[in-house]
This record gives sequence, C-alpha cells and structure tokens, in this order.
Amino acid sequence: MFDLEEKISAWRKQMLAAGIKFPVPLEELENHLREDIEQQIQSGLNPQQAFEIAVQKIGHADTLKKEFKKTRETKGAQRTAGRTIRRLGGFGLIVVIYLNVAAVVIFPKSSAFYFSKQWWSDWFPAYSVWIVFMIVGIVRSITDFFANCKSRSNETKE
Amino acid sequence: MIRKELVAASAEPLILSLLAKGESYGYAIIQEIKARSDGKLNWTDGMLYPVLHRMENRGLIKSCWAESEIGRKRKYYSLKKDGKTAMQKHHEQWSLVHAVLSGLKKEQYV
Repeated sequence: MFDLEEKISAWRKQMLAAGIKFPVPLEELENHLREDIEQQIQSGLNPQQAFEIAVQKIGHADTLKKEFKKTRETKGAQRTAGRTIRRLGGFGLIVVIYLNVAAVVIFPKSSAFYFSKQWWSDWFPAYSVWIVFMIVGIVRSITDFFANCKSRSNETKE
Repeated sequence: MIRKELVAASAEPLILSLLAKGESYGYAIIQEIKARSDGKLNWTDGMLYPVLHRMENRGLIKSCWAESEIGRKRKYYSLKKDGKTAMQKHHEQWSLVHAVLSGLKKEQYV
C-alpha cells in the first residue's frame, strides 16, 4: 500500500542528506511538492504517480544543493535599509562610548564624567544622535517585515 | 523546447515582470510562466527557489510566509523598488535584442 506521507518523509530525508539543511528552502520545497502532488491527483493521477512526477519535476537533491550554495554565497550582499541604519547607529554609539571612556580615564574631572551636569550638555547629544539612528533602524526593520505581509491580494483565493 | 541557457537568462526578467502584477509564490509562478509560454518555458520546479532566494538577497524582491485561505502555508514574493528598476533595465535590454533580431530577420526577406 502506497503511503504518501511516508514517501514525502523519505524525500525530505534524502534532501537533508544531500545538504539542503536550511529550514526555509526545504520547507518551501516540501510545500511546493505537496501542492504539485495535490494538483496531479486532482487531474486524475493516483497518489503514487503524482508523487513520482512531482519529485522528478522538483529535481535532484545534488543539483539543488549546488544552486542553493550559490544563494548562500550571495547572501552577504543583502543589506536592507533598516539593518544598515541600525548598524551605523551601533557603530557610532560604540565610537562615542570609547571616546567618552577614554576622556574619563585621561581627564577624570572633565565634563566626560558620566552623568555629571556638564556631561548631559557635552556628551549626551552625541549619544542621543546614535541612539536615534538605532531606533530608526529597528523601527524600519519592523515596518519592513510587516509591510512584506500586508495586503494579501486576490491571488490567494482559490 | 527552449534551450536551457535562454531559459536561465530569461528567468529573472520573467519573475520580476510577473511579480510587478502582484505578489505570488513559487508554485503559482511556475504555473503561470508555463501557461503563458504554452509549456515551452519549462523550468525544473526546484530550480526556481534558488533563483528567488538570490533575487531576494540582492534586494530585488521580498518574501513573507502566509497562510492561504485553505490553510496552506506559502512563501509569497513581491517586488521591491530595486526590483522595479531592474525590471525596467531588463525590458530595455530584451527589447533591444528583439529589435536587432527582428531587423535582421526582415532584411533576409527583402
């Protein structure tokens, strides 16, 4: 007796063994496989035939692995605006902290001393600028994430 | 059947142009391209995903997991601003190739 779930599970193991370990590609491929199997069954094939055709169409695990490897190599190129602003803010903040601590060590009685009256007017503005950068970056990343998911179109209706 | 080199080269402009109409997911993208080309542009299904992921890494498209009305989880892709620019460039370049090819073809029959 042909067990579709068992076969899909074996296919998944085969993909994992070939190195497609990242959860996102594998989950996406499995969803595709299931959708194709369903369509083939609706068009009149039995589950076994549908499974075999869908697996063949999706391609060999080794070939897919090579292609996904190229994808991972290009991943470093991805820089969303939110992430860039956030990193810039973080970098600026580290530089200000470093300078502030250095100033405290070198000139202990200067305005650099943390939370002194002078510190608020001399150093705090520099901190706040970079903190604002970080907040803007975080907000931008969050809004980008939710913007991706908004307004599902009619295409989802089946 | 169209040569695999041409299939590979045309994947990005086709995906971008298709997503310009609205967001979509892997299976639907393949089905639509197949239908529009009368089955002549036949992608290996699994190979679409590395292409989509690379385009996403390059900031041309963005993706989001969502559930369809029948409860199926799908990863939807949509066009980003840079993707629109890239699409326009592709259109210009492919139009140029098409114009040159058409001109040469016409001259053969003069």
